[in-house]
Amino acid sequence: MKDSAPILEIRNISKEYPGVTAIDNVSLKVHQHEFVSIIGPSGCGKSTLLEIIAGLLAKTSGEVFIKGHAVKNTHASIGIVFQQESIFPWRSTLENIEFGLEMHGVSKQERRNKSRRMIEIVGLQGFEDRYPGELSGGMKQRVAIARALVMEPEILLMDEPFGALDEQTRIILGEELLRIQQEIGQTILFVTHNIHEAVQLSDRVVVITARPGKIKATISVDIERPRTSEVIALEKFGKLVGKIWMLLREESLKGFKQTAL
Amino acid sequence: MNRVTKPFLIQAGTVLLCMMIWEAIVESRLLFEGIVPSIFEIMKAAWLQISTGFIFPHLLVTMYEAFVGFALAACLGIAIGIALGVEPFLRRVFEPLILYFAATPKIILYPIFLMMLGAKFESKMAMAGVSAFFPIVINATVAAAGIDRIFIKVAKSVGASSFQTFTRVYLPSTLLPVFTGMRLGMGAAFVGAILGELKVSNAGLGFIIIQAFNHFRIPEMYASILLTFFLAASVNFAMTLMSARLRRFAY
Repeated sequence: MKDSAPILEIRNISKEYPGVTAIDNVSLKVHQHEFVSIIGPSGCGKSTLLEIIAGLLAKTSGEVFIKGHAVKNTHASIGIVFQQESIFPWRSTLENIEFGLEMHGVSKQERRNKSRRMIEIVGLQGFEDRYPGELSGGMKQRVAIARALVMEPEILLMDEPFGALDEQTRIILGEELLRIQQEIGQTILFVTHNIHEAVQLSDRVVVITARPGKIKATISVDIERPRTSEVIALEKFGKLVGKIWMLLREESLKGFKQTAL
Repeated sequence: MNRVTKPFLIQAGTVLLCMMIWEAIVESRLLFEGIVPSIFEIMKAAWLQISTGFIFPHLLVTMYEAFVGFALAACLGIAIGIALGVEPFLRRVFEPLILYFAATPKIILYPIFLMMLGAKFESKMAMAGVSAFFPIVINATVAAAGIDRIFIKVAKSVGASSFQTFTRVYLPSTLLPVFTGMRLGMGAAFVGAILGELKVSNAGLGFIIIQAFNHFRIPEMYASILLTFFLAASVNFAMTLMSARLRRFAY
């Protein structure tokens, strides 16, 4: 337990659709500089939870606090990166990254400066003026990450950001994300269905049950930072992956039956 | 022979072949004798219309009517189309009405326009406008309804206002299909304006075509038709070039 107030706190969040409870009374705290992953079987409502925190989706009950202040709707201190391709095809890399700043009326000079710095951080130098059609899937996600980070959010929400990429690109981008997080001390709440990814990246892994989604267990990942993707080779890594899978297995089977109905 | 010149040569050849068949019919005097003039006569008449400057005021009148009608239709059509695309309820209410009206020949409204706006430019502008409105509004509606929701989520997540979402997300992401609608609308605007001129008018390309017809000045009539065709074709060509530039953003 840390003494400082958490960056993000969600209290008793529930989401009900007619006839279905998607999320059942979930509470969670994320502290500064922490990297927390939420993992669960498909259909457990983990993406729904993230969209509720981001203010993109209405919740049935519960509250979201940023640094102790209750927030409703979207909030400038919450950034989000989606799984799907979400960067604007009609904007260049630089223009995409500037988007949020532009919406907030930041001057062109400042926009350029901040975006250029972000381009360096995510490693997109030389691609500033390219359009998304000319970028690979991995690069597009870097743009999406930069677009969220440039707003300097208190917390970055990531909804399976590497889910559409191949395994190797996913591991490399995960490593990049660790480096970026280290560099700017970003607090991150990450949703994934990939156990290896969760262990590679996180300080804590929160396991969610099959629908209705509630917290089943929280696993601390006691692997030292800074990390690279080489942690995959550690014995500890394998043990953690195994431990999480044992927790997930039952839920995945349940989730499988739900979707098979 | 490269990829550009070959289709062009085939196109030119096709046109040439048609002209030869035309000339053959005229020369043979087997079909349409006396009402289909030789291509050379048509060219002569066309040259006369251009060299004397006779055609230009009429050309300008038609362009003026078509462009003003088109501009009004584009402003209204894009705004309404996107509004309908964004709001499913509005779309459910108004889209059927628009589709039924789009399928109606707009010329039935012309007597009303003549009475309300008079026999000069304004009634033709109105004809051009209603003709152009429907392809524009329909394309804009479909484009806005089909926009990837993720873009809206992104805009929302950084706190963009509704106006910003409209100008920075809806407009650019629907640019190409909206522009296709505008191209169709531009063609329809010329149809509307010239149709109006053919019926009741005292100037414009439609007017000189129908005048030549009424006075049985056959080569002159064909010449005016030919020049009208070139005007419509070059406007469309210009818009094609513009859309090719917009395609930079295509995805």
